[in-house]
Amino acid sequence: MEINGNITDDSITGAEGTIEKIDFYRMPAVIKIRKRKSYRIEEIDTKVRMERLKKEIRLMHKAKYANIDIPHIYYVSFKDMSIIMEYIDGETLKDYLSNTKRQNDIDIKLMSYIGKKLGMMHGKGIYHGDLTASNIILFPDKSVYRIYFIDFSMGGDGDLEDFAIDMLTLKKTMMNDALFEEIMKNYDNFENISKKMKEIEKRGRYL
Amino acid sequence: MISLGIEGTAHTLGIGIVDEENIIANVSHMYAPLSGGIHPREAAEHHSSNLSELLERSIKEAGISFEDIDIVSFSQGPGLGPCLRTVATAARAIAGHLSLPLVGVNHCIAHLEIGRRVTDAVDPVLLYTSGGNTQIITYYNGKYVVIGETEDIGIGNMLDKFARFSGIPFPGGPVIENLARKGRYVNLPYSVKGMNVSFSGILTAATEQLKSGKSLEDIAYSIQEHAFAMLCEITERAMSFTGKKEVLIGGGVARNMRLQDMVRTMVHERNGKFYVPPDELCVDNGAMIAHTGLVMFKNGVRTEIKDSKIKPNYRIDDVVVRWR
Repeated sequence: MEINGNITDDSITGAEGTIEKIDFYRMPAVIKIRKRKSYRIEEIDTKVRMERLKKEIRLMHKAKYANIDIPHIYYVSFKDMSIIMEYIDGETLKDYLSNTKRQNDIDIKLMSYIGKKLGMMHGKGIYHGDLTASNIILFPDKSVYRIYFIDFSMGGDGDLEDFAIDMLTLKKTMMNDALFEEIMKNYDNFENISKKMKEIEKRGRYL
Repeated sequence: MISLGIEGTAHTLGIGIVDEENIIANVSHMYAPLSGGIHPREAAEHHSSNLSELLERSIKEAGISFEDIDIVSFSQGPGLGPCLRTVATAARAIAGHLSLPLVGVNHCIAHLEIGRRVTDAVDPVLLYTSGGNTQIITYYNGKYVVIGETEDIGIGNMLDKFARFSGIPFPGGPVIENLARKGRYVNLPYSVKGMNVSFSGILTAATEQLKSGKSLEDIAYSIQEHAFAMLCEITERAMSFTGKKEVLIGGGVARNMRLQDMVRTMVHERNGKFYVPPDELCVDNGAMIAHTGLVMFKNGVRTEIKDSKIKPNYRIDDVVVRWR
């Protein structure tokens, strides 16, 4: 691989692939590699990893044009099925909420801002597909926060059902219904999404 | 304590007799349509006309008499209405005649519970693959939940439909497995959506490929490789999500050796443990109903006649779990 990178941090292994923090031409970056799955035959494995990689890049691009903050993409390798992107030196929403020191000092405005951004993203027809509290990064920029969304590979161009599943995933993984309500309050199209969310929850399939 | 269990959610009528230690009888009879798929009424007729003979056979195999039975368990759902009604009626009649308590069992949970009973799995993620059902089930936050599932047809249903289209008699799965051994790769859709999968796209594409002259062996191979890889992927995601290290498979399609190999490879790569019950306990069977009914009963669950109505759409998260 023709990159000037060396690993600076431990890697994280998810179900999809591994993520490592690296230096990319002196810029802090992360490399996300979709490793081969040996249970799949090579033809299918290559096809699936390629599709996901392309989808992730395409959706990040689309989200960016919808005015959603995403990490800059520095480098993509179809040979290694990897993306090198900007390292966002922030805190995931999950960590932000579970930080006990902050328990009485959670920024309600920040929650509404997340709601507004999600409304914008869904408004452009993009669903995330795996909108857990770990896939939202809060980055302090001067006196305000910027909200970054990461890991779009399960997403796509969606409809109300997809958007509602995004919101339910977020609700479940935030484990704080009161704060989730703050997010909902500032979400455009609040009534339709709430109705759809109730309908999906009733089906009982949703975890 | 001896539990008699009757299974009859779809094409298989099964009667099992178990006690705390052993499965002492497990007999079944399968309805196989001469052409086409399962006709619910015909399947129910099959169950009612085979029930008394099967019941006697189970008692004989167990070497007990009817008076030795302590509880009667039956598959209350989910499944085909007419089949469920036949089985529930039989269960009520037997329980009434012998003055025994009745326990209505959720069919999907029974697949998981029998796996825990006969393998070393303690708290597994179950990949349940059969004709009508394709689900990832596990015990989570105090109840059984479906973490992932098919959004359209069951995997077995997809295999059967393709088999029917290509002139293979029901059930088509084992024939497809054999054909696949000689096949090579043909491109088909790979459809994973978050924790869920769908199979109708594969079915359509596979029938189109067959019509366009591709060999049956190649298509059989490619159907298996695509569909099973999708199942492995969502099973892996379920392991990652729940942090569980054990995977159990069950249901008729779980007997497929290629599926077993793929899931085993995935689980071992994650340093997990993989469990497969014997074939006769993977498919629909009475023993799993008898066993689950017994476990439930010993934890204070019984089903009054007024609550013994069938539940064709019985969801596992509706089951109050008192035994774990």
